[in-house]
Amino acid sequence: MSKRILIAEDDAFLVKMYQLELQEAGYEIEIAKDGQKAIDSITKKEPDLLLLDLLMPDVDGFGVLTHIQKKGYKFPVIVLSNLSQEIDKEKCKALGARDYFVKSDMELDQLATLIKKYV
Amino acid sequence: MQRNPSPKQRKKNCCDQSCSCRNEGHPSEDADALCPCHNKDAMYRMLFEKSPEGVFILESQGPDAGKIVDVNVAAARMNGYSIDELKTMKIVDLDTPENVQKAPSRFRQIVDGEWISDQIMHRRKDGSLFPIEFKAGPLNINGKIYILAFVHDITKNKEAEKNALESKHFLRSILNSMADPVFVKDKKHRWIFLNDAFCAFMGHNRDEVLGKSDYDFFPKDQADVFWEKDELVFTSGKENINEEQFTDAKGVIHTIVTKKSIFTDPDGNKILVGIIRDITDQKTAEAKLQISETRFKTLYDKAADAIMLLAPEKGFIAGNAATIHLFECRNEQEFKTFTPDQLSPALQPDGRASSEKMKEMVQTALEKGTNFFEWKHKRMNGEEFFATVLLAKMELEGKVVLQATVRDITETKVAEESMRKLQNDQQVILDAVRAWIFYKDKDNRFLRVNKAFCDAMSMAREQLEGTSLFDLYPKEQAEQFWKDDKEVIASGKPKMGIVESMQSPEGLKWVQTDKIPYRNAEGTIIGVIGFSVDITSLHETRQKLEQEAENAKKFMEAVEASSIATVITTTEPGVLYANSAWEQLTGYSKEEAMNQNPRILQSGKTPRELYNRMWATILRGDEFATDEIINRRKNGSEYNAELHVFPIMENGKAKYFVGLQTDITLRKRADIAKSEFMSLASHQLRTPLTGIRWGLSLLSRREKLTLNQQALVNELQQQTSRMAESINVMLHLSRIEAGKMEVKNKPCALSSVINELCGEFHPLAEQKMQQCQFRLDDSITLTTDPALLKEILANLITNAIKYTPNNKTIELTTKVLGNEVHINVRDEGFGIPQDQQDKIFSKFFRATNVVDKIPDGTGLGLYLVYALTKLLGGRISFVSAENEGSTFSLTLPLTPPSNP
Repeated sequence: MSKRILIAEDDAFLVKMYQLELQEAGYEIEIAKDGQKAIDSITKKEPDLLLLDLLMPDVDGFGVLTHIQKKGYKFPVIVLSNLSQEIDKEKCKALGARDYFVKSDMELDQLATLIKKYV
Repeated sequence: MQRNPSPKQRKKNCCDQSCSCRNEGHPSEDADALCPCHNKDAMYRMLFEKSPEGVFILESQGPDAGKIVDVNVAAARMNGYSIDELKTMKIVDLDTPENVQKAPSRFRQIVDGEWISDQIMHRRKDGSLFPIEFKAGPLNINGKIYILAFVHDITKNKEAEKNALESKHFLRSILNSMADPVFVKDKKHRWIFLNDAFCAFMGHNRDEVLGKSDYDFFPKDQADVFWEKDELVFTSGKENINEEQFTDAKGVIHTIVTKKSIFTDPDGNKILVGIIRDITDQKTAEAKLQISETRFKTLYDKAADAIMLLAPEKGFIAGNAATIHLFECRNEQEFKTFTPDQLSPALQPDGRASSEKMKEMVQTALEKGTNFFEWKHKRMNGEEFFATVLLAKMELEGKVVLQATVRDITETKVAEESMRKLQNDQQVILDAVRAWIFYKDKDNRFLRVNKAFCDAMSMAREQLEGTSLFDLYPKEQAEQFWKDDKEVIASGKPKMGIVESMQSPEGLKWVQTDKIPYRNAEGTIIGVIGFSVDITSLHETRQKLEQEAENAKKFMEAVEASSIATVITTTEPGVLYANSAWEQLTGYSKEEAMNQNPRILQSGKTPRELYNRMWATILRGDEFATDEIINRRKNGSEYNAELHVFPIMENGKAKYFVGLQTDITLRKRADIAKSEFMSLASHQLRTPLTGIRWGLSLLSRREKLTLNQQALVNELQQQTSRMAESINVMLHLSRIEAGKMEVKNKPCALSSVINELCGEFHPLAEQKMQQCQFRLDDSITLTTDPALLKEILANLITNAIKYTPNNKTIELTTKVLGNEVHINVRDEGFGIPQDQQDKIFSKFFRATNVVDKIPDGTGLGLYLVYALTKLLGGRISFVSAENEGSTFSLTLPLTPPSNP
């Protein structure tokens, strides 16, 4: 049974890139276009891994992390954001994120390897 | 008078035939009547007229009594009248008034038959008086009685008599004024003359002694002796000198020498003249002389000075004991065999031959009476010595000799030498003193000066000494200097601290002089001693200080007026000064801030590390510590400030701190806004960039591309990753500038930090076939922010690899010096052109020699290194030569400084 990965990302092109890269690797992809939709999805069904963007409409990534922490979900969360400040990284880690990457500094082909570490 | 026989006798003789009265000018009285032998009238007349004696015939009675009846030539000549004139005159016309009165009674006497004679004065026709002797008597001519008068001019007699009297008186005066008693005795040993001295000698009046003999005054035995001696002289007729002793009335014993001689008086009587000399005093004197001779002899023999007698051309004729000792002769006999030459070395110190010079000295002594000079002598044992010689000319037994007094002055010479040495020492001391020292006499002349003074005047000592100040300075200035001298000399009191300016070869000088009276050994003021100190530099310093004070005042005013908040503090107690801008900025007044620690402004929002870094920089003392802080005002509001602190060093220690604050709150807000904008902007840029990158990645990996397409995609991937990197750096910098970069220090091993980097660069270096040599000291541990340190080193290493041609070596070394770590990154690259080295840490700077070779540089790497190094409290520097390579040196504190 393939692992279910929830991707919270508001940029449609990047969603497409994620899908192209990860579907190839055999993962079940679910997309949430904002924080609230991500929470809804999680509430409906816990994913095996969450790839979380930070800057999203309505509820942002920090809100999602807060929710997850509050609800006590144990699935790993990897933050993939274009915010690069230490303060954001620390904040995310404090809210339970397992890892943090700046998207523009990351090569797409590294993504599968990264996910493998957690699922 | 023998010539004038008594009238009776003559009358009788005259009538005698054998009468010879003619020879005696016999008068022609009644020759016819009384004396037939005298009858011849003419003969008498001739006698009368030719007689050298004046003859007058006068009326004797009646009113014509005294009338001159007849007169002879001699009488007329005697009285200065002619015979005819006289025959008209009376005899009283020739008399003086007193004789005129006597005349009538004398006429009567003559008429009564009496012959009278007298010496009276007659008056000549010219009025002059002269003495006459007359003899007058009666002349009976034919029964009529006339007066016959013989008159004789006795002027000459009188003069002779007077002379005789005078000479007798003169003789007596001489005798009386003689100190020696003189007496004259007659044959019977009676005193017939004695002088005053003899009277005094006898202790009696002249009258008491005259006519008496020795027996009347002396004891018999003594008188017998005198008598005997007198008798001896009388009988022998020879002079006798005898020394006798006798006791005078007062009991004093006298020693007398009596010289007795025999004279014969005009009458043929023998008289004895005695001259006594009381030699009692002389005897005493002789005795005294004998004593003083003994004394002199003793002095002569015992004298410390060698005294000798020198006969010119002959040699020594005497020498005292000191002489014998001085020349080390055996005795005086031996000494007398020498000449001065033999007791002198061949040459005198001036190089002249002793014999020749001695002749000159003797000659001078003979000419001038004395000669005093220095002489080098030689003793018998050959030893030479210095002496002073006094030659004095004197006569000895009619011969000219020189008395020589020779004094050995070897010791004096030694003393002189040591005195000279002392003076020399004194001079050495004087010369060692930097103050000018000069001795001046009362005429403003320099007597003595020290070296400092000579140097100041640029003149030799010889030139200065003896020179008057008037020769050195214009009259006006010399007078000015002299004025003080005169004051000191007059008052005898020192005058201190005279400040004067003077011209010197080096320009205008200011000197401060103390002048004190210069006294000689007797305490008499003979000039002044001056001590001058060149205070030119002091003076200039003072002026400079005044200027500086003036400047400082200006600076202070400028600082006070400055808009930059300025504060000056010390570690203890705190604020010393704050300007108005500081008051405005902080809200504290100067008075409130005074002595406060400037920490009162700290808000607590400025990271402690920042203060620590600043302190580390300040205490190194070589640069400003500049940083941005957040302070709190008195009213609690906060503000951002750019703080510059620099120390004022004293003796190598920071004593004062000057803090300059600029309110950068607005700028800071702008920075933060910029940073926030940058964050947002970069986020918005990154998202499409991510899409492009990821898309290219998919394109490259999933699609079958032609080689050209693939190459183009690869190129696009490089461009996008460079773009991503640029965004990262700019974002980074904007955060640092906004003060948002936090430093997280922790202890870390330097070698492990560097080794973590190694892997990252290895592929790149390998690609360029470069050797990376990391020589690390594994023992180094420091406290720092490892992430920032890595970023710094990554930049340095990347640069080294990037800007170094293929096949070269990159070297990284670490070492600890003191409490600092030095990390050097050395390459053999293109280097940095000399003229651009000062811009290397500027933002967006790229060296011209690499811009073309390596196009993908942002110009931000070294700026970031610089900014991060500062954050870590370290320093970054480099040495570089174009085409040879560069070495960047990063210095970090082993432990970050703490805020003292």
